[in-house]
Amino acid sequence: MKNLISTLAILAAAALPAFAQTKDDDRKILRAFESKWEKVVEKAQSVVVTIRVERDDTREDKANKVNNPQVDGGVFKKPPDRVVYVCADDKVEETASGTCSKCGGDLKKVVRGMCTGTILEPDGVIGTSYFNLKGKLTKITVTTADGKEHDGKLLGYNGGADFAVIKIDAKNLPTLPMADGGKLVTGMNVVVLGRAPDGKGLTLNPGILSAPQRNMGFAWQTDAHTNYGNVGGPLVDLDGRLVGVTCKIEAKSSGSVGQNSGISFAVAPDQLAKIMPDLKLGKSTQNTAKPFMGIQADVNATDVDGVKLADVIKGGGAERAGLKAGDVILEFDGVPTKIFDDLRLMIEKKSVGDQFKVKVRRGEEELDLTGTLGERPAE
Amino acid sequence: MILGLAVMASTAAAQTDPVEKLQKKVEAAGKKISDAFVFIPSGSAFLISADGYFLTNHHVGGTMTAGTNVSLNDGRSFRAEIVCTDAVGDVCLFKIKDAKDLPFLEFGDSDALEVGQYVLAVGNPLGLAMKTPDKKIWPTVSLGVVSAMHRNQDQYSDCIQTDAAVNPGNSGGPLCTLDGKFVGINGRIATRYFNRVNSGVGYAISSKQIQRFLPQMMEGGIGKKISHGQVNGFTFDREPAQGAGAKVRSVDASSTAGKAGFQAGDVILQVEEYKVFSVKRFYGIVGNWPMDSEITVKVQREGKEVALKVRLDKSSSVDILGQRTDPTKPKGAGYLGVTWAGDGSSKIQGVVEGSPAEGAGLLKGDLVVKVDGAKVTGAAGVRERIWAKKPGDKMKLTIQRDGKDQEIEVTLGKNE
Repeated sequence: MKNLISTLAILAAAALPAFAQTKDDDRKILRAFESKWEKVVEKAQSVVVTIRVERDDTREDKANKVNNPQVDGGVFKKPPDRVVYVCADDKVEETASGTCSKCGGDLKKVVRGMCTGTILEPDGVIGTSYFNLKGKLTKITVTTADGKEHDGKLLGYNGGADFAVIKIDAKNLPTLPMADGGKLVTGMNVVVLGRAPDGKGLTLNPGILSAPQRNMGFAWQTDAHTNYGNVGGPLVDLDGRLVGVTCKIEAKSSGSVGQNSGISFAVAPDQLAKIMPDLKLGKSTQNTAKPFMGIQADVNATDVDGVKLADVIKGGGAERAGLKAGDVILEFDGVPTKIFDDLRLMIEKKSVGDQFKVKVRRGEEELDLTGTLGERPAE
Repeated sequence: MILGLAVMASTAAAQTDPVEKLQKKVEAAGKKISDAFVFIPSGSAFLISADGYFLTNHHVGGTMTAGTNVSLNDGRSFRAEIVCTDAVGDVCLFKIKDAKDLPFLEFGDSDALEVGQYVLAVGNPLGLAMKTPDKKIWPTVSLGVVSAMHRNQDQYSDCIQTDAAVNPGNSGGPLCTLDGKFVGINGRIATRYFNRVNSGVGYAISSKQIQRFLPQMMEGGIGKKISHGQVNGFTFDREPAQGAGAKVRSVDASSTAGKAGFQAGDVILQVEEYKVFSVKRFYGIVGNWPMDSEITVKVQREGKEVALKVRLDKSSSVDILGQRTDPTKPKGAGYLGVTWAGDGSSKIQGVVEGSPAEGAGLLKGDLVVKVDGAKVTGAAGVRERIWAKKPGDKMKLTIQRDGKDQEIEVTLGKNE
């Protein structure tokens, strides 16, 4: 027996030289991932909640124009809500046939949306993506992991970060330890946890951190998939620490379907700490007032050594200063602007109402123009 | 003994957690690749030398003939110009002017990739990266595996398939192994219904293919362009040779295939080190070499294996932007004034009266073997080199006349 084993060992070593090691390693990695994911689910699943909202069906409300991909330049800003018809007994009918087939009562049209939330504080403070809470809300229902339903109240939101805080009446809820924002690095293993569309099952999507400082510095980017449904759920590391709350579904695509882009975002831990206090006090911001020059750069122009303007927005500071489409901005406040990002950063450093000076090339001539920065309009 | 093994195994596991090991590798590679990453308008690119050579896709940079501004991860901006572009292979080589000491990526061996192996795709999908207040620009790093090797997808005739997230904007970015070496350029996504986001099926041009073209591209190709190869003169049996090769139905005797010694009934088994399992694969491999390369093809003939050497013709593939690559004389190009023998060779059949060729003393029957010191084998190669020049430019032709090599210098003229 002993002989047989040693012979087998030698045979195995001889027959699989070069990549046997790699394949073996890969198997180990996969098994290790599985056990880590199981532990993450064990630790984190109780902070993942389902958020269901009902909102008024007001067609004027931008938030409800969701099934038209033309809205907002072809970019969905909100999940495709489900329109249902309910009677006084809350029996749901899918069609607007006028009366309820069960009780015969009148039907009311209701728009429903669903996403995931993350418990952030034991006394019922829940973070989620803001986009599902837009519009005129009539009801927020939060289902915790134990199956209990709670009425929720929108405390505050930050439109720029795409983050909102909901409060439910509860105590001693489970929370996750926060990851150290300074130690996060591109390439780190993470998972996104969410609730399946029916709100009962837990979903897990693994990935890595793809890039820091996205969405005006609010978010980390990850290749773990977020979709309408699991967005608002926690992004956690493999030790079960909270890396962020997923947000800002990137739905830029040329068709009317399709998520799965592998480009997802989560509000970073340090940003959460910064914006949470205000939101808990009910101080919402659609967008913080940002200085705005009112230009559209032709970022694909390769034949110029400056910022070529594709368009000048009507009524903006640039237009008032006399800038025109086709102009090339060579300097801003005396500093050369080789690429658009340089210019953008310089504008962002200034405040609304500040004066600016630009050197512009128009055709053969160079002009010096001055103007005043306006306020960035809401998205 | 068994017990001993078990103890050893468990201590090893405790010391190195395989997931942590993987994560460390991914983090290190992610940083290395980001450092060498180049932000180019409407796409991605990456440095391959300290003095500023960088690669991207032809469909990203091929039309930037006036040069472009590019930026690096550390926020520095540079001016860069096209050195040479490969319109069929979808590869474009740029150089940053007067650069030194830049971070760059080494070539990895794409042929050594295994299906299931981890790879990283780095790029600037959807133009997400913006300069942050600390002047850094961060590309997107995504992790996936090699899904398939040696795929023949139109112009990507021998490419790597991956499930790492690749989206519009990733084009031109590197696909890398976890040791931070680049094995491909991400350039295509399989999509349907015009939904141009990642589908889990991305295609990358292999580093091996690029290595075959790079030496000529570094020298500027012919007029900043380079052509792919093919072998003219074959027809193949439609019936697959049971997955064991490409069966030749007929060979045109006067063609490249005929001259190289191919015969009807040959079953092509191998091209260089690559096994041929179908006609499509044969075209795919051959399309992976530059025009004029000499490659060895192994065929089965009457039960024996025969190795044949063949010099590749110019590929007639449509390029990646849908332009035909058939030669047409560009406006304002130089003019020599000869007609060529009809067999594709560079033998002069006629000299036009009063043309620069006549003035320089070229004669009917001369065989052009070199142009400006570079070897040529066919009329197409000479023609391209003429068209890359302007009227008034000088051109040095090495010709064979009566079995002897002879050099003739000619000043090209104008003929509209």
